[in-house]
Amino acid sequence: MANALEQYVNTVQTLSTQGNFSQLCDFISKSAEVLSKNVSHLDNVLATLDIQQHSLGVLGILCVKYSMPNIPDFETLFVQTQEFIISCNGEHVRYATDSYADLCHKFTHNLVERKQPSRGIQILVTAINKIQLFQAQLTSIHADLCQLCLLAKNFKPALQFMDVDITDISKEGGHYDSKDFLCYYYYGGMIYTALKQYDRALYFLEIVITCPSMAVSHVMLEAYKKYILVVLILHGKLSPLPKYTSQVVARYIKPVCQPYHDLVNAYTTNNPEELQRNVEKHQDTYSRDNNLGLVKQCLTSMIKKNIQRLTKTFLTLSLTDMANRVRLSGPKEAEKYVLHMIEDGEIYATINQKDGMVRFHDNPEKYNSSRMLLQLDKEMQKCIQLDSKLKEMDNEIAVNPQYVQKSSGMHEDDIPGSSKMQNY
Amino acid sequence: MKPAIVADEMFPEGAGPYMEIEEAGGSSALLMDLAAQEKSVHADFFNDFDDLFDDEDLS
Repeated sequence: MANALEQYVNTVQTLSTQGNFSQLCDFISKSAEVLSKNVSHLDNVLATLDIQQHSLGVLGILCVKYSMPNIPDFETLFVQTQEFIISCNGEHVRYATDSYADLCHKFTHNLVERKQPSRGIQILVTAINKIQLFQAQLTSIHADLCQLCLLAKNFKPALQFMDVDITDISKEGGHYDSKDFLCYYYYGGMIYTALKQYDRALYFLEIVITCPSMAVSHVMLEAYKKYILVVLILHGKLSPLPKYTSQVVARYIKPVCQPYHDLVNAYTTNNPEELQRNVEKHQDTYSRDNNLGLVKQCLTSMIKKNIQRLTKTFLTLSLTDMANRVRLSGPKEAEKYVLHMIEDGEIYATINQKDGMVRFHDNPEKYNSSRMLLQLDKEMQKCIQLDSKLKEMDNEIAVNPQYVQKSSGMHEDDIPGSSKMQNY
Repeated sequence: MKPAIVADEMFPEGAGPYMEIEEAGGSSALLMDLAAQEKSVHADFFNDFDDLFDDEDLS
């Protein structure tokens, strides 16, 4: 058996020096069984390999160590994984993106099991930066990072990736799974919701629920529940989903979300008591789904929207009158709401402390300042860039032989440049 | 206008013909029903987070 391990080291060293990485990947995948039979000697094998020069060989060993039913010394494996992610050669490991991603998944899984999510965050940030070909490329490791950030309640490290719109997905040797895609956008939606960036959260959740699907995904189901709550907080009503939404949403997901649709109906009454009654009725469901906090935010958002509606009718209003109209406990609570809304720029108003009157103002923004023009220019640049990116992606699809073949109903033989055509 | 086929690398087997969400009935819808009934997927996905959205926890 020692010979088998020696042969592993020799082959890894030789093929790495020759730069023959494809052949090395084949050899490593065939060696997994031999390595797993000699698991007690794997640390010695690791010691003979250089992480930078023999990255693929080290990756193969770490994957085998993680695949063992029991990990006797996780601390050692944690340090070995950390050193590998920091020091491995990015060019080499791109020959085995599937194993690299698998290592990160298992690393994440072990940290979650041990309730130590925060330890892995920075390591996964490095792992993604190392394997991404460009910033807008999604990898399956993105979902792992978001999961750890949510568990650690430390959201900022994920934002550097989530704030970039994705235009490409790493194929990871054909192992990229739809679950990784859905989980990334679902977890991302949760992170933006926790940070109260509802607009972006809604975009992420919408991507999940409009993903083409033939089967009911539980990720889509949970995303749909959160989508309803976030849309109520942000817009106060549920608009129809885009037409390209898969039928499974209407047929299977909507019917099992009745407590959430009841909430939408109660919200449309603009009556906080009605909404409160609905919350009490379905409290167990919301609580079980860990959505009760968002449901409570819906209640606050309805009161705020009712106050906003008053600004369209009144120029001045007493705090007592406002409290009566929006059904608050008294002028103190009304004052608290108005102050928060002024702070957040949701209304423009001043409170006269002497007589307890609120005076509503128009939006002071005249859209003529240099700051505003700069802002408008930035937004227009974004639209122009989006337009050119869309055209570029559309062109790529239009000339893709598989797409041309499928959309025109042609056989492969008829496509110019196809392998069969070249043989003629 | 409806594209005849959806090409999506996440679903190499093809997502089937696109349909309007409001559209009901028809043989394609029946096939989709059968497919969806047979498999619900990702039941094991990790969703064991605390309620991260309760503002009352902050005060």
